[in-house]
Amino acid sequence: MPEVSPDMAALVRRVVERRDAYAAAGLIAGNCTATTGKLLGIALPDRATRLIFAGLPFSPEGLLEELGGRADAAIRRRLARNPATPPGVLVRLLRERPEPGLNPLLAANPRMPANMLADLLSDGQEATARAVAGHPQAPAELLAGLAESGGPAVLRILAARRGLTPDLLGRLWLHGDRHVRAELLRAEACPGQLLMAAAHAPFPLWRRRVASHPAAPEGACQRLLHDPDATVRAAVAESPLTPVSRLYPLLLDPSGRVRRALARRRDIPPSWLDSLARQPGNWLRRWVARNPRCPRQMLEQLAYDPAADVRRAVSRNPASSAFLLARLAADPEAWVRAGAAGRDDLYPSVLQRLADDPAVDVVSAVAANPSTPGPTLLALARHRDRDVRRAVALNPRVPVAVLDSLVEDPYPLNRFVVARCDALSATALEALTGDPEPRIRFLAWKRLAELAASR
Amino acid sequence: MKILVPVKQAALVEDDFELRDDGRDVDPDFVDLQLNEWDDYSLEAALQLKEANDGIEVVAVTVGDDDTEDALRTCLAKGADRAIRIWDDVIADADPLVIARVLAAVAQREAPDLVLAGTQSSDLGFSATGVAMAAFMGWPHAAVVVALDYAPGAATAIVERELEGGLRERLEVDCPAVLTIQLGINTPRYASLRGIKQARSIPIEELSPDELGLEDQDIGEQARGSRVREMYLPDKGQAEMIEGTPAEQAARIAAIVKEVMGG
Amino acid sequence: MAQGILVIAEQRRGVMSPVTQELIGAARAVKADIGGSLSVAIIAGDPKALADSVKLDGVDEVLLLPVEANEFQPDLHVAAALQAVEERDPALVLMSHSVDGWGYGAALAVRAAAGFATDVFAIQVDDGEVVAVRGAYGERAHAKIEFPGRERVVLALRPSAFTAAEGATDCSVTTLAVPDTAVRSRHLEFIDPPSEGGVDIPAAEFILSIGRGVGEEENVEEFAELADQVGAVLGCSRPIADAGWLPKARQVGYSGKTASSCRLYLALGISGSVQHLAGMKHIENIIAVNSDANAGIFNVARYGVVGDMFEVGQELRQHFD
Repeated sequence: MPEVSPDMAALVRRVVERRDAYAAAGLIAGNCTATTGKLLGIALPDRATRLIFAGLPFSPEGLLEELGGRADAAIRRRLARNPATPPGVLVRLLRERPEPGLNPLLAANPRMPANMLADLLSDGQEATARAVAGHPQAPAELLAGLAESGGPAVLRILAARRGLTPDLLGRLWLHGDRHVRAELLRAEACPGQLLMAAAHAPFPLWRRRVASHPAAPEGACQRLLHDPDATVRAAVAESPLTPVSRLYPLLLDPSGRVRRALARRRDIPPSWLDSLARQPGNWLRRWVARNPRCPRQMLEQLAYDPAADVRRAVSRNPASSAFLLARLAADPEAWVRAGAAGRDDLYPSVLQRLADDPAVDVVSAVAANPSTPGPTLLALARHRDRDVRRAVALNPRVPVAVLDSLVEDPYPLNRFVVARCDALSATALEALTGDPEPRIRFLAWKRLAELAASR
Repeated sequence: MKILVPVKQAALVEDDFELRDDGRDVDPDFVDLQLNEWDDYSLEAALQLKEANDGIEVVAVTVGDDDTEDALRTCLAKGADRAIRIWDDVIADADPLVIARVLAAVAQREAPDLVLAGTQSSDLGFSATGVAMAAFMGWPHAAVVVALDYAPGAATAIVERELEGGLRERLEVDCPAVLTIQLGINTPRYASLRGIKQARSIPIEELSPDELGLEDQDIGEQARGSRVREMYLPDKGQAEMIEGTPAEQAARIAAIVKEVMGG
Repeated sequence: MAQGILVIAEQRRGVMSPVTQELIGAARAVKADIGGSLSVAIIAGDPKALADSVKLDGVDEVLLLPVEANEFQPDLHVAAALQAVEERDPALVLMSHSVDGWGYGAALAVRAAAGFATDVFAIQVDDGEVVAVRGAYGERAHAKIEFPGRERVVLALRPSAFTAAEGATDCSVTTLAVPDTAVRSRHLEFIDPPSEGGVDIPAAEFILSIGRGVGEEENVEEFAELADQVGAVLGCSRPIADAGWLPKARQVGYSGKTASSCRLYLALGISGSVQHLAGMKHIENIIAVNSDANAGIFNVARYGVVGDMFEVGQELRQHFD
């Protein structure tokens, strides 16, 4: 925590002096309730600025409410689309009965209150119906109605909803074509007899859905293990619900797709991984080398693999020992060294050596590594490559002093990343209040106002 | 020696915009202005020459109203030595040929040894101004330059042009010349905060076409190579939305992949 | 009074560029409205060798303009084109909006005192007046361009926008002498793009690119595998490279690295930052998949899919071995 927190009245005074729209918006966003009227005036000086704030997803609610009160058509469109627009403003836009093109946008806004959706739906537009069908809080009776009357696009959106009720699922199954039904076969509420029947269906897509379903009946799974279609067998191999003991026949499956799916499983015995790693195709070894169940001995072999992508996979495997990582840290391929450089369990001496690597990917990984010591980070904060400096700012354990030193970084994106860091001192925030980038000023003023408000 | 860098304050149009009342351009309320992306690279090429050699002056120039001053401030903040802005209301809505004519007059006054322009502008993308300027000046020119090897005072420069499909052409150009610079020739710097502050106090030379000896016949309506009759929104939004379940959408994507890439 | 159309053919390394056929196709489509004949000018070291390739339906005459350079040279190109313009006095001159086109078109327009527009994708003739249609502001708007007071108009046409002329025709072939011209730049060599080795976003023809939507590192491998399956080079947006999940060489838009050879770009879970768009928005075929219907990437895409990148990716792999 900074020693001195700023004083709200002083912040407001300074913003009024500067007449900086983004600073004013920042104060409003930072819970400054004093003289809001004056701040709003500064934040919204002209139409161009009003248009910008109406569309920004980080606009403060107070500002969006103000905009809702005096919106032209272009501002209304932006407010209707903006996921930050408060429900009250959305309802107000709807009540004003504006141009019909606005309704689908309002209906698609997740903050549109559910009890207004029926009103919206009455406009008869297909686009509105689609938006309502996809609205996360849409009431069951509206959805049921849409399932009865909706066109193919609406049925597809309904079928993709999470948490389908048995009632809605039943209606959709009745009215839907085979693609809609394929979606329904993913639903948790899909009844066992439908799944059983689908396991015999002539569509591989349906059988694949059954194979992936967490509640697929026992018999169906057994059958699909020997399905003629490789995509179905791969789905069986992928499904975490298939007991691994059943999958043995797939170990020598003619389809590489099936064997790759197997190699990704976390629960397969080491001897299987060994068998897969000996089969041709880099991807099998890549997946085996990524698998946390891969035994140490096999990882050591794979660390010598001729394919760099396989060695990279070893470097990212949590089961790879610090000893093995040290070897990969000397790999001729930069991307493999970068993999090791990103590991927080690397020997400190190796990490230190990688800080001087010629490849920017490697040095960036060191800069982002939480195990990198403060003095090294301070040096990297002055690295000539801007991505390395940004990686320092993104490091979860970056010391405040190092972070503060980045507020004068010439690259705007780096300053933006810094401005978002919780650990930043009030002095550093103060330095950012005059930043040339509006987004950064907004953040700096917002955070200062939050500090002042919490006093 | 002197390098002249013509720059443009380019208009970035927001996603959802309206047209101006006369229908010939976008309503300025929906426009964000910033230094043309290509000019970041041409300026950087000039600054790198300046840093590698003694006694090079980099002069940024733009043709535009008060709102375009920021583009010049950006150039100054990055390290340009001087900045010139030319304006007169008669130039409003001018086409690239008129802009090039004005820039050629600036070049005549400044007598640079090299002109480095952007290959195109990010807003209207004519890809014309630099080469038209060379034509008005009677200078040699090369367009779409991705590598530049030039020693101050040398009679020629060796450059590479980026052609279609990743092919490059190496050529020798007599100097002085106008080169239009392509993205990727270098990594443009960002202005330091100190540079931005300092640039605020550097005066920008403001000139009228009149002061450059240009007459109405050079830059007026009749000098324009073209005029926008009307702007309009394309019939449908840009993207054709692929509807359906994920399986149907993927089938369509797969078909597009096979159609475009063959096989 | 200027009349007729002059097409300036484009060739490189002794091969006629496909865009030339499109220029002729565009000329043929407006020939009746413009009036007069259609001439095609070939500017090359040995233009005769290329003459047969432009004897296409609608062409009345092939003009051969031999110059002292086999490859494109702006001084000679302008001088030769001017010579053809002077001899035939066309109302409309059509050329390609290509790298070589950028290298001489504006100079030709200035020297010929002609009206001029570039990147034109449609031509209309209104009451005898040429009106060109082009994009503006990254194709967000279209603009109709007119040329008041100009007797002659030079238009640089966007490649792939016009239907190519087909069908052979028999027409006259005339050789025109190009006046002596000071040559102020010299072609030294072509440098072919490297054929393989390392990740090369600028050389990739098909890129499958992933963004923040990918969620975690393990998932990146899944899309790397998908890219292999569909035959694409894997690219990414900045957050993925920043997280250290993919090398910076794969970051599209990194340090001005543009996907300059790309014909198809499949963007999965990329919202479309300004920097990323700068590296790919020029690509003709962009397919964007994003769960947010308001994502900026949809403004530059040709095809959009509002959906989950994992579900679509999972289904997509079923179509490739």
